[in-house]
Amino acid sequence: MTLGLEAQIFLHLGSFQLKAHLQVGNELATLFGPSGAGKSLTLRAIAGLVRPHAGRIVLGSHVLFDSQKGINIPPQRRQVGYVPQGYALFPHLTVEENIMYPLHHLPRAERRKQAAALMEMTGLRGLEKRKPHQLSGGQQQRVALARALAAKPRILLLDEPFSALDRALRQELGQEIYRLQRQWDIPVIMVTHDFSDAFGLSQRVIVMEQGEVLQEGSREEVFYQPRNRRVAQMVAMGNIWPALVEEVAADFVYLRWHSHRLQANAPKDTHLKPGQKVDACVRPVHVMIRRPEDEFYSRPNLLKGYIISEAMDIDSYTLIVALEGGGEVLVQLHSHAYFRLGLPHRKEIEISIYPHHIHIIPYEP
Amino acid sequence: MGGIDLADVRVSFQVAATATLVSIIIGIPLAWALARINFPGKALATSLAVVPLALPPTVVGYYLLRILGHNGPIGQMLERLGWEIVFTWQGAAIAAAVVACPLVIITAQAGFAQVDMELERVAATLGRFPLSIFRTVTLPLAMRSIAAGIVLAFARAMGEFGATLMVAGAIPGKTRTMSIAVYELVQAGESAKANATALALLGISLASIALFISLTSFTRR
Repeated sequence: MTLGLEAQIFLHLGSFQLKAHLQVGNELATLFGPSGAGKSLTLRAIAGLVRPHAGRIVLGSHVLFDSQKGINIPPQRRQVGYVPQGYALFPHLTVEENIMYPLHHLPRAERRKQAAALMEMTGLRGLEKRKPHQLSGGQQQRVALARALAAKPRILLLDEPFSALDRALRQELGQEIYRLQRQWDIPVIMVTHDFSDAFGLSQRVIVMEQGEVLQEGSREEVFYQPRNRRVAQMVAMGNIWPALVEEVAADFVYLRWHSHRLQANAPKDTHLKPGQKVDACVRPVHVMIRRPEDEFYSRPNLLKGYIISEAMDIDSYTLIVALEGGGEVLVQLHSHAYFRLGLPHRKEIEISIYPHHIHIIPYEP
Repeated sequence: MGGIDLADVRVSFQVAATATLVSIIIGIPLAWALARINFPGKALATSLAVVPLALPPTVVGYYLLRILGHNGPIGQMLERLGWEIVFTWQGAAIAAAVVACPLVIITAQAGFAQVDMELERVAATLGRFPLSIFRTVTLPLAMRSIAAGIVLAFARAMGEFGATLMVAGAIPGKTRTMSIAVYELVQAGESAKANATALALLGISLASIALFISLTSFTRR
């Protein structure tokens, strides 16, 4: 039994080539990548609004598209809920009429009943007679969701669902989408170019760039174990150091970066050889700062340095530490820790990194 | 003496209403196609559809006469069927339609073009097929522009002089419209009648333009 969506899409538009292969179960997935990556095009291909030149799209037990067998189900018959960027609400129809739009085959009383239930569920009660332009961005988003759900979709595709909303509303609607996914138990794919939207709620992250899927996996996999330098940059890895493999032991790898010898966990699936060039990735929050009174405690990868720059963000500080013996390290820590460690007055520090927090990826020149 | 010849009024409305109807039937689908479908020679097709706007009406009338007249290709065909177009009110209506239709095409095309195609795509994913989408989304959203185009076309057909005169002449009670009557009444020195007829045409034009402005000046959203 196949559940969820499996799609292989080959499509070219002018000089742009889309080669997307994705698998999404009954879960919340995020298609993440910069604009022009082909994310929206992928959604449209799944919805049947553009026809791939080759490939296969299967939703549950339904084949929506198969170039070899000549199958191309029209969008009307796909039961794909598609919410484009900007929501595309019908401006001449009221909220209620928008939501009833896919229910035209039902008697009026039944249409109203179903629309009322959906409006109740999405918190739109009392707005039945409003026109879309009389609604806030968040309300418009909810109407678009309710309208898509009214058609009883087998998958929900949301293109940049939060792009027009402020931070607080993003979180609220994000939770709502998460809840809806749980309730309907269908695949939900959100497209976003915003890194902060991508990881919060989705169980699965698909990273795309220039028409190709760079990495597909759980949010933790993508976030902590990016496959290559580009993905590492996209998930704001912060520290990507070109290093040399010095020694390979059973569980550990020893790396040379500037004059420092770093102990890292050996990567599971790649076999490293001494003398090999690699990139070592460390998330800025995984760099610890040693307390002055911590004299007798032995710390892994202990390095001395000097804070050369400090930037404050919401509830956190980002520091740049120049190391003795070369190299700079990006360190992020909670404001609370910044003060506890006495950093407002202390710029000479020692940092430490756990071996399992050093992620090794292939070196790219 | 002094009043408007009611026969002229009747002919005018008959001609203008028929011309407007023909413009709607031909112009709206054509406008939709020009706004939504890409085909080779689209620019040429657009130019051809709109060129009567730029031509002197007498020239339009001249070519219509060549086509619809006794020696014209369509004229001969229709004559074999026992139908003569030249010097009938239907001929006048066709001439007026050719001149008025571009106004429907231009405004309706602009109206269709401003309907976000994403709305139509979403409607398709919500289970609606093209004809239903056109009826429930595209047409209602383009309606103001279309209505404005229809009003303009009607006003233009009411005022049509040159092309109708060339094709249908000025037979009182049959093909003489109010606009032609004004000319003839002035020629005949019947200034009171001319005055009244001109005033009536002025009123109709003002009313049409007022309607046109109210249709186009404030838009949804």
